[in-house]
This record gives sequence, C-alpha cells and structure tokens, in this order.
Amino acid sequence: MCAALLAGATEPAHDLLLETLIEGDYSRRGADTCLGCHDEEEPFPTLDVFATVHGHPEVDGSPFETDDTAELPAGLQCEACHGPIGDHGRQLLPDGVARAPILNFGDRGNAEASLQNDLCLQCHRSYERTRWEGSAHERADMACADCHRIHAETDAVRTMSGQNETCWGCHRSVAADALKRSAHPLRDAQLVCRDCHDPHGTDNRNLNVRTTANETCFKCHAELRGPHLWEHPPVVEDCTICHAPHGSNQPSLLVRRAPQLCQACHSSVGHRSLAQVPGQLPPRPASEFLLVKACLNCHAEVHGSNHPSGNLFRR
Amino acid sequence: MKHRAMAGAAWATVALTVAVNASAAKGLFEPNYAKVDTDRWHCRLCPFERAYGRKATWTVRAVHVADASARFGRDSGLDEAGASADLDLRYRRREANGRMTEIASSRLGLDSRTLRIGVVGNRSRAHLDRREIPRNISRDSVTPFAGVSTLTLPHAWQRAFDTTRMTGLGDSVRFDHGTRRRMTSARVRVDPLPDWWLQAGYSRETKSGTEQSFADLLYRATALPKPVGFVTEEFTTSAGVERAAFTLAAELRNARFRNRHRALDWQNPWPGAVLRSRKALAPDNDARSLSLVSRMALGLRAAAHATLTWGDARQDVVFEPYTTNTRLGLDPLPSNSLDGRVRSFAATFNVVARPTDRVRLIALHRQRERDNKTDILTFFPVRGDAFSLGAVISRALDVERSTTELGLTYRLAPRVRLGLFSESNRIRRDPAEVTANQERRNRIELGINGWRGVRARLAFVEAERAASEFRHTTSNNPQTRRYHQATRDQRTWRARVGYELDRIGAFVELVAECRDNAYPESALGLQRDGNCTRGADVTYTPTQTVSIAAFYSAQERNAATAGRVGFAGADWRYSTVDTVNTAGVGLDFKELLDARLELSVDYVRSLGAGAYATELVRESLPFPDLVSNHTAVDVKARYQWREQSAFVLELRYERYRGEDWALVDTLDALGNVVTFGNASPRYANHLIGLAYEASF
Repeated sequence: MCAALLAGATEPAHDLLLETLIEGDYSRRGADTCLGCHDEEEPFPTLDVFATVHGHPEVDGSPFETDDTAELPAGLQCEACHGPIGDHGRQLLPDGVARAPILNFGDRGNAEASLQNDLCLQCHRSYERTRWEGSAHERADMACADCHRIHAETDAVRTMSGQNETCWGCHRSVAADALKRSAHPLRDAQLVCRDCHDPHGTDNRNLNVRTTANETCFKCHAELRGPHLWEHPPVVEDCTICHAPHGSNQPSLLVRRAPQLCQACHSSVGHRSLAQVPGQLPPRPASEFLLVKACLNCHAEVHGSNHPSGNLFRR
Repeated sequence: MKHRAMAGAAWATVALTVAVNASAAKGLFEPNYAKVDTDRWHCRLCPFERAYGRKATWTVRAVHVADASARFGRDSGLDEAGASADLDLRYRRREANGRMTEIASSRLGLDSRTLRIGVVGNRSRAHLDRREIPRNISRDSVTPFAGVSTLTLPHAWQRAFDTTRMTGLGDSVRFDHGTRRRMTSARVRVDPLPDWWLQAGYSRETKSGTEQSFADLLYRATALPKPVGFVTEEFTTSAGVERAAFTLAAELRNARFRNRHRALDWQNPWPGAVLRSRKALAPDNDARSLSLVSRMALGLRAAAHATLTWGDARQDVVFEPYTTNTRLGLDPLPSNSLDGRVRSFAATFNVVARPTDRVRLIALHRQRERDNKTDILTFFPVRGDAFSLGAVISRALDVERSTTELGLTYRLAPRVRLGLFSESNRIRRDPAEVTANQERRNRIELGINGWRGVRARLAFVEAERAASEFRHTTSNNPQTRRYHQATRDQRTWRARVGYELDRIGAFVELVAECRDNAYPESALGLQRDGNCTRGADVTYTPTQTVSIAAFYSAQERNAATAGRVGFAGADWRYSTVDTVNTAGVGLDFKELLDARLELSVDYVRSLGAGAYATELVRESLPFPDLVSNHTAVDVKARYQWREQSAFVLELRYERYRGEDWALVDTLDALGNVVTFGNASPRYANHLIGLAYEASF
C-alpha cells in the first residue's frame, strides 16, 4: 500500500483539471452549452441553482450576474465555479474515448479539496473566512462542498434544523453526546454547532467563537463571568476542566461527579465524603456528603462567590 | 512587558497588512480570463424564473403527547400531556433587483419556538432572530419553601436536627423546576463602498425560572429553589475592508449582565440561634472588548493573519453583610463593593504557506491573558452565620496561557498527506500552588482523502506537561496536586478509516480514539484519567431514493483518584468508569407510492452506565451502578397530497430509564440535607403529530 501511495505525486484527473483551469478554453455559449445536457433528468439535477443566490442575475458577484462590468468570475455562469469547459464540451466523441472531466465538488469532487476551495474563495474570501487557512477543517482537507449544497434551493447546513445533522456526519461522537444524561439542547436543534464553533476557522482552540473556552461559555452563561470576590482557580482557567460541553453521563455536564471530581484536586481532610464502610454505600443511609450534590450540598457556589462570607463557596 | 511586545508585533503586522500591494495573488491558480468571450452567452436555457418570485409554506400541526415528563420535553417544551397545536412558517421572496427576504419560523406553538427574518440585498443585509429554549428539569420537585428571593417555611414549621422529625416537610409543595431562555438578536450590515463594510448587532437574552442551589448551616444543608432572573445584552459594532490581498477589520463588543435577584434569603429549617440566612446570587457584570483582525496574502502561496483582542470586565455589586446574625459583633466590611476589574488580552498570529504543491507550512502563536486588577481585600468571613475564624484575603486570579505551534504537511501522493506538528503550551497562574506549566505536544498524522475510495485519518499525539515547583499555600494536603496543574504524561491515538464501495453505493467507516493521562507526581488527587471512543459508521444508498445509515459508538471515560481524610499518604482510592454505548439506524425512502410518499425511520439507543468503587486498604466497596438508558424511535411520513400541499405524520417513541444512587426521592431520606425529593426519571412516552403543509 505504501508503495502504491508513494508511486506518484500526481493525480491525472486533478492535474488535468488544474491545467484546464489555467489554460482551458471557455465555452462559446456559456450555460446554454452545459444545460443542453445537464437538466432535471440528470442523476444530479442542476437547475435548482437558479433558486439560489448563485443563480440570480441581479445579485452582485453571482455567477449568473448579467452586469457586463462585474469583475470576473462573476457572470461566468457554470464556468465560474466549474472552470473552463475545455474539451468537456465536445459534442461528438470517438468510440471508447471518455469525456474530459470537468471540475466537480463535494461527494463527486474529482480534484483535491484545496483546489475546490480556491474556486469558492475566489468570491467568498470575506471577513468570515479570514481564518480559513490553517484552520482545523482546512488542515483536514475539507472542501466547502463537503458541507454546503450549492445546487440545492436550501443549503441544509445553513438552517437551524439541518446544521447539527451535517456536522454529525463526521462528528459522530458529538451526536452520541447529545443523547447522554445531560447535554446541551443539540438533539432538536435548539442550539446549533455554530453557536459555539465557527467551522470556517477561528483564532481559538476547538474553533471556538470567542477567545477562550470560558468566553465562549459566557455567551449564554454570563452570570459566571464575574469577577468574583472569591474566585475558584479551575473556573477562571477553563470551564472544560470540570465540564464536558457536548454531553455527559453525569449531571450538569460534569466530566465526573462530585465528590470524585472535587477530590481530584482537594484532599478530603475533615470530610466524611467517601464510603468507608459498607453501611455508607447507597442505598443504605449513605454519607450525606456523597448524595444529591455531594460536596456542593454545602459548597454550592463553586463558580465563584461574591459574598463576604463566601470564601469556601458556601454563600 | 511581554504584553507590550506582543501588541507591538501585532501592530507591525497590521501595518504591514495595510502596506501590502493589492496585486498579490488570490490563490494557487490564476484563471486565464483573456480566453473568455461572452458575446454569445445568452443563457436561453437558464430558468431565471426560479430566481424571482415568492414562495411561502405553512405547516399546521396537531401534537398529542401521551404522558407528562420533564425529560421527554426537556428542550422542546413538550413536557405536558395532551394535545397542542403548532405552526411552522416559511416565506421566501426574491426580487428582480436581487434582494431576498426570508422568514423561517418553527415550533411557534411550543416553548421552543424560533423565528428568523433576513433581508439580504447587494449592499446591505439585516437579520432578526428570536429563539426560545426551555430547560425542563423536573415536574416532581418538592420544597417546603415559599417565596422567590425570600424563602419562608410553613407557619407551623417544626425545626429539628433530623429531617425525619421535620413535620413541616409534609406540607411541601410540588413545583416545576426548570428555566426558560428567550433570545432576541438583530444585526445589520451595510457595504457603503466596494470592499468596505459596517456591521452593528444587538442581542438580548432573558433567562427565568428556578435552579437548584444549596446552602448550609454548619453541615446541615438545604436545597433552595434559586430564582433565575437574568438579562444579558450585547452590542457589537464592526467595520472592515476586504481586498484580494488583505482584510482588515475592527470589532467593538459591549456585554451587560443583570440579575433581577441580588440575594437569596432563606429561613433556617434546622435548630439553632440562626433563624434566617442569606447567600449572594450572581452579581451584575459588564464586559467590553476591542478586536483587530487582519489577513494578508503573501504572494501566491502564503497568507498571514493576526488578531488582537483587548477586553475588560467589571463587577461592582454592593456586598451582602457578613451574616444575617445581628448578634455577632463584627468589623465593618473593608469595602462596600468589590470594584472588580479584569483585563484580558488575546493575540493570535498565524502564517500558512504552500511553498510547493506538496508542502504546507503552518506557524501559529496564540496568547491569552487574564489579568485581575481587583484590589486584594481582607475579610472576616462568618461560618454558618455563627462565628468567624479570622482574617482571609480575597482571591483575584491571573492566568496567562500561550501556545506556539509549528506544522508541516507533505503530500505523499494525490490525496494522501503526512503531517508533523509540534506544539508548546505554557500556562502561568497567580496566586497558585503550581504557578507554571510547560507542555510539549508532538503529533504525527496521516490523512487520506478519497484515495482509491479510502478516507482515513490516523494520528498519534504525545504530550508531556511539566509543573513548576509546588508551593504549599493552602490548607489542602500538600501531597495533593490539582490535576489541571499537575505534571502530566499524555498519549493520544486517533484512527478513522473509511472505505467507499462505489459499486454498491456504500461507505463504511471505523473510528477509534483513546487518550490516557497519567499524573506521576500526584501522590493524592487524580492519579490517571482517560477516555476512549470506538465506533463504526455505515451508509448504504442502493438507489437514489433509498438510503440506510447506521452507526455505533462506544465511549468510555475512566479515572482513578487517591485520597486521605488526614494529613498523610493515600488510604483510599476511587475508581470511576463511565461507559456510554450508542447505536442508531436511519432509513430514508423517497418517491414511494408514485413519488408521493417520503418515509423516514430513525432509531437510536444510548446505554449509559457508571461503575464506581472505593478501594480501602482491606476491602472494595462498589457503588450501585449508575444507569442512563435512552431509546428513541422517530417516524416521519410525508404524503404529497396535491402539487402544493402535503400531510405529514410524525411519531416519536421514547423510553428512558435512569438510576442514580446520588438522588433521593423523598424529602426526609437524608438526615442532614433537605432535598428536592427528586428521583431519577423513568418513562416510556410517545407523541403523535399530524401536520398539514401547504405552499403557495
């Protein structure tokens, strides 16, 4: 397999497409050339693109823009995205000769993702895509069309109901997390992935939309921002030290439950916070420090307290 | 000093960005537009009529839920039994001038309704969003308290040292425990000049309801229905210029949090001199930030971007008194309020270059600083509203985190890429027992993206985190290391291998990911933890109208902790293992019954289990298993009745069984804790919905 991998650094289809992009001839009749074959009877219908901004003749920068003064590739119709038609448009082919490929995207992509994306970024190199280069999805050779459906009237990933499903196509473990005992409301799309992550790249870890995990959480949980009179170090440092944001088998998205979670840092000096004899195991009258919220039965304000007597997070 | 150096470097980058010549290339290829001749491009076959006009769809739905269950309708609002009406609306209008108006709303009859309105033109756009998110925690919580932020017990409350003797508990009332968020946001963008844009946004979120909180009076704790009355507002304004060679933008953000309830006052149900006590609730705060974002193309094959963010958060809510116990003679508070102020700084520099078609280089530096400027004050906290143990100084924590990453990816073959990454992370914190961590993380990964039907990503990560010398500054047992500060060895494996069987329309993928952390210098506290995920994913699309998808995921999270009640080495250990196995199957059929019927069936099952045990010197004490089993079946059938109308039948069956040894289902089950009397949810519930959908 390794030998096969290393056998060649070139990919015929990709290289041919790149060559066509740079040197290929554009069609004589524009989209009329393409739509003569690619109509609704095709396995992959194309005409719904006219129900999107890409097919609107009056949208600035659209491939079908009719303003002659618009900067190319606007107005290049199908060839704005799929590149010059080159030999693909030849009407008659000798027997046994395959039609020259045209650049395709997404599931049918026949060029490397970086080339596909460069086509999209010709027009979509905007502020929202500033951090695309070097982002997690770019590094993973994701193509724009892996998530976006350009020819569909509704691009599912841009809807509340379809976004999470699209992301879960790859991030299956997050889909599983959404079913756990405690989870953010992702399953029925009351929250969507975009609320916390920007798939086009951010400056931050895990594609978080804000500078830190905490700042991202504060978008909705601003009551925890503080600053508090008594601060709790892991809370200030990173919410994910204690919480698994996508879902957990424990209450309150905790990575472990109290008291075990607390005892990862705090020795239990002076506290009967563990079962030491069988009689303290549930369901028998167990230690009150184990049950309900365990340590938090008293130290309820672990996110920080602003009470002068709250130094132990009890007020 | 470093802060200034970073800022200087960032400004230099921004200046360089502005100075870059606009002739820099846009990407890896330059189309030859000289070959374009559009004289005969008439587009006679283009159905532009689809681009204009309006389309509206409304869906009216009748839903019947069999049983009331908070968890069944936890996030949807379908927590009550019986019938309800629901409505979805969609409207889309495209005008000849290119302007598009879109309205999308769903679940208008439920507490989880959403509404999005967007108007997008060539030079401006405006969006209005409204979202409501319920969080139904329980319908069977009980409490003896009445009131909102001043909680009182029944008039004839009998105070007792044990809950079983609290006769007033019998008068406890049932209440719906949960919260509800209402989020509204609006944003407008205008492009006054080509390449220039201005944007302004406002969002407001209210959260109301009840959360569970606790408070204690000397080891006798009480669950309190804490009132939630939060209002969060945020204003953002930004402006930018975008050219082919560079982007430069500035964003100003102002956030404001207000809590309608300053304190929670409650009547002491336990015997003692203290009749009432009070705790502080989340204080109001304000935050603002300024961000500068820049990106520039460095010739054909490289790009750099830099982002700088300066932030400031303040909190100055008037303090509550030390105690409600007026019989204690106490010094006055050192200040009426905290006058808390935190400054933050975030910087990111990133350069990505593709010097050849095969090589990609990545260099990244990320800096995050939290600088708490709040004055340190001395307090005399009162414990249990009964006595003070002496002076304590307030805690204002600083954290500084930086990451430098260098990466190289090399294309071994078409669609096959090898990546080598090295990352250095440094954390500094003050005050702390461990003031600094230095972590080196190395990663090697192989990515195959569609090579002969194979999609794979294999990665191995090795990381070592060193810790600065431990300083015993707290009352914690000095043999304990806080695990987020402790020396750590980490190993991570990731493997994701998929294969596309084009001939039969199938795709099979296997996923495995494991991470192990060991804390070699921690005699007490967390000793090790890890998580492991294994899964499989199969999709089969035999025809254009039939697709079948199935997945399986097994997740395990484990940990081992050591501890001691006194000041010596470990005399007990905890082990925890949480496993969640999830499986799902989805069937989609289209174009049944003369292309009138679409049918989808989804089945998911999630089996969660938690095993915990205390290992003492002589015996092992296993806890009862934690159980969280969730099974759901969703069926949706859409019948196209006429060209522009359809009936939709929805069925959802859901079964849940939870068992949690930490929950107690009667108020007097615990001697020294007044609880909400919650039990683990357990239900088998279903809903039936019938919808009529019409378009025009």
